[in-house]
Amino acid sequence: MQEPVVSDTRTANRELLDFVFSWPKWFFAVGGALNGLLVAAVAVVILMLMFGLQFLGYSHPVYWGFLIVNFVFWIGVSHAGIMVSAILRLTQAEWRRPVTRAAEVLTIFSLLTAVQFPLIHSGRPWRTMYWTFPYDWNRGAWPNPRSPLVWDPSAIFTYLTSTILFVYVALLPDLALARDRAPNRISRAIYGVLALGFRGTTRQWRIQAIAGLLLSAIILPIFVSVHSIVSWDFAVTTVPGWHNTVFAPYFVIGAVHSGVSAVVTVMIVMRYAFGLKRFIKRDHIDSLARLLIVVATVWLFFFMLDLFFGLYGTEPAEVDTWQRRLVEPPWVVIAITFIICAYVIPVPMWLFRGVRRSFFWMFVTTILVNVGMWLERYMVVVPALERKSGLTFTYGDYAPSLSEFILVAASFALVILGFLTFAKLLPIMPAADIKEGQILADRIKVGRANVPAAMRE
Amino acid sequence: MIHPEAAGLHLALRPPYRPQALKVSPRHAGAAALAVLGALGVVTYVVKLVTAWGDRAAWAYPTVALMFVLSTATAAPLVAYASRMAKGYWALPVRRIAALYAVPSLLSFVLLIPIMAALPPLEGRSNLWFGFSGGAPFLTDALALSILLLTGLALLWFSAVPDVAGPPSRVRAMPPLRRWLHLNWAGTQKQWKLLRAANLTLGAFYLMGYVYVHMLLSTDLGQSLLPGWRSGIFPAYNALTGIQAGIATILITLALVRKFSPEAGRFIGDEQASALGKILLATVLMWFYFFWSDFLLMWYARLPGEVAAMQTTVAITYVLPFLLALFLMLLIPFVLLIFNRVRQSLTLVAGVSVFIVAGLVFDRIRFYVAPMANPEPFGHVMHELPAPYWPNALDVLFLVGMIGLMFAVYLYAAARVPILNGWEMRQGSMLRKERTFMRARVLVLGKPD
Repeated sequence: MQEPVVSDTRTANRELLDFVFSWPKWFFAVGGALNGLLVAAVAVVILMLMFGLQFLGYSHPVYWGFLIVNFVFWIGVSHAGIMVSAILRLTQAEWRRPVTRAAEVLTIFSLLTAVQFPLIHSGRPWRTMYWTFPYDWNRGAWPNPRSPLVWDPSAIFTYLTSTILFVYVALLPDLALARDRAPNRISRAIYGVLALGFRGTTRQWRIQAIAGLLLSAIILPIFVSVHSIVSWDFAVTTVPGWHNTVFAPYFVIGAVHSGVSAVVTVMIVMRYAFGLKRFIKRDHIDSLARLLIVVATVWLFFFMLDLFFGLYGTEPAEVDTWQRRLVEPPWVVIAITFIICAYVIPVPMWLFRGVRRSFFWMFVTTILVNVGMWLERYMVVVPALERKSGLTFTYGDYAPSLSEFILVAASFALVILGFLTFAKLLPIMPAADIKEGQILADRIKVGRANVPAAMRE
Repeated sequence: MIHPEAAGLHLALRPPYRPQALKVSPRHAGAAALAVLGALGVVTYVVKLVTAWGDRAAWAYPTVALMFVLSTATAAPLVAYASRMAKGYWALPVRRIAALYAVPSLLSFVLLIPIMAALPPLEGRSNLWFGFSGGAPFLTDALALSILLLTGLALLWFSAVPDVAGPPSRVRAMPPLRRWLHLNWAGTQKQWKLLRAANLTLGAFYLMGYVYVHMLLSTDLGQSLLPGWRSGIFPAYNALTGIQAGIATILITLALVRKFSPEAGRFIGDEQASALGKILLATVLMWFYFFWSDFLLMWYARLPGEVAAMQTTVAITYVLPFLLALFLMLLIPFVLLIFNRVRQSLTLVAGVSVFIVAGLVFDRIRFYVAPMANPEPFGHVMHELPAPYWPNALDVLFLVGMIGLMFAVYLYAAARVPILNGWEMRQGSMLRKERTFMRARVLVLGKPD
């Protein structure tokens, strides 16, 4: 599990910085296509601002549709970075090294994408100022601190700030490396400013390592709080199907499930797109798949708790909502699809070593997980809202509009574009961390076997 | 880099461990005290059986004892399993000490039977069985618990066979049943593979069983007897605090083994304290997270049934046990465990563990005495809060006696099975070596696939 990349420092530096200093043709084609999607999304948002939320198809009783589902989904994916990076760093898992940067960057762009959706969904984004910031001292218009509309931005911006700090501290040695190998003076100057004078002295390394560890520990409670608070947007209400005390850990573990799956998908794409075959090995996706087996099973347990304790009180409205989710079309199809995609297909497959070590199958199964997890959020959000009033059992219908599909596609485009831009400007794999791994690598001879080993940090 | 000694280098350097059981002298004050407490537990159990069969309120504090055993003895073997899965080499000297708790966990079954007999019918109250008539909850809970306990014993046995079997000639000379029990152990490659697979499979099964049993019992003996209490996180909270208390119990045991058994104690050091201390700190933080997730929703939604349940278990009726649990399981451990110096000292971290185990008793009191002693368990909302049910002398003796009996049974088991996992420690020492890096002596750990 700790098989290191064996190459000299010069070769490793060149390979890891290759994409930063080169301009492959596909980059422009992909970038162009993604930008096209973003332009379409901007047009949709402008039309929505002109005609109101009804342009997106929202009307009584369902006011939360694809936009909020997307918000929850991307917040979930953003949990990948911290799960993979902070926790694995604290537990000294050697295989984390090539994985961490991509996961952290995914966190940043997922978060930035996620925050767009409540803003769009507010219908009048500029008015969110009233709800979240105490901006108007003269008229005494204060935000309501008991409202999740205040909790959400607080948690998300704290998470975003700390994640950027976390990534930046880890980036410092690589920024210095880019500065030293930059092909022209302008980029050398920019990387030089960003590197904050990092020269690799013993003291700088020590401070950088301690800062990384401290941030790992500090960021964990924030990581847990973010998706908990998102879950409480739903659970603090008394809407049947949402008010369940298990929602917070259920959302967090679901986020980790989809986030780590997204990291695997991204790693596999990076392996081929950025020419990192020597760095992203079968061992890495194998380890992530083992982690995913545990995470997915815990997620399933929390889902069952949500289901059982939804039905437990035999309250008619609660039972009715679950019946709608699990029995009535079209929700039954979505329910079956999500459970099959998120658990029934991938987890039994991951039990086989051959699947865990196959890039193709891991790519397919992790995509399936995220399809399933997106549908799960859809199933949580919409059916609970379809009931027309607290006193009746009549339902409104909700069908997603084309505009919503465009916004969903654009959200993927935004994350991918952000990721690509980052990879173009900065090393997407932590060169310093990987080289440290090579230094710490060793072997132990047991009988005839030569076992990979590592020095204990 | 941390100091090589603290990193567990001693496992590679010290003379190998020869598997042997704990030497327990009946004249030792601690052993004698445990024997007396154990006897007290048996006597009070018999007295309860004779005088209070079917009286639900009288079995409220025995339910606390049951949930205590389920949260300490039944949770402890999980550490052995989880560390094996995660290849945590620091845990090599801990695994048998943890797995041995499968023996005293059998007490939970003995406690469950009379408690189940005192439960009211399911009709008319919230429950997890949704009309299932296959003997629920009596047979189903008893069946689930017995499967969990048998799995725990099997896990202990499979991991102990290489240590207790001895050389193949000895195994061949055994009577057929005993030989079968020893898996005809000859140490062949096939047998080692089987052993590894059995340990991993049974471990996974045990973990799932542990969570499932907690879900069943926390609902059938807790939530479902207090109308209006509907909390999906409560079973998970129970399982989590069980793991917290299980780790604390192991740490206390490690400290005692190191003090009273020089042969085994030389393998138990600060490395184990540090690793378990970190996990303990994580569980302490999760205690708060799970509690807060529960509390916030009930407080925010203000549904009458949930508010009444919260007032009963947190705010009014059992506020004293709640505060004690809060201090002993969260505040005191958190304040102490954030210091590296505390986590890296076995004595200090075991001291913190005593608080946690004591806090668990109060935590279980607030959650299980109220429902078991609730005279009106039917309906969907509590119309008035139940009066507090404080323990009488027999209840206190029962609780103390049962906890003593649990540790007495553990001591008995430890005196018969080698207290450390000899074969795993030998394997682990082969995968460790000492090396000079720059000017420091460091530990190198091998991790085969």
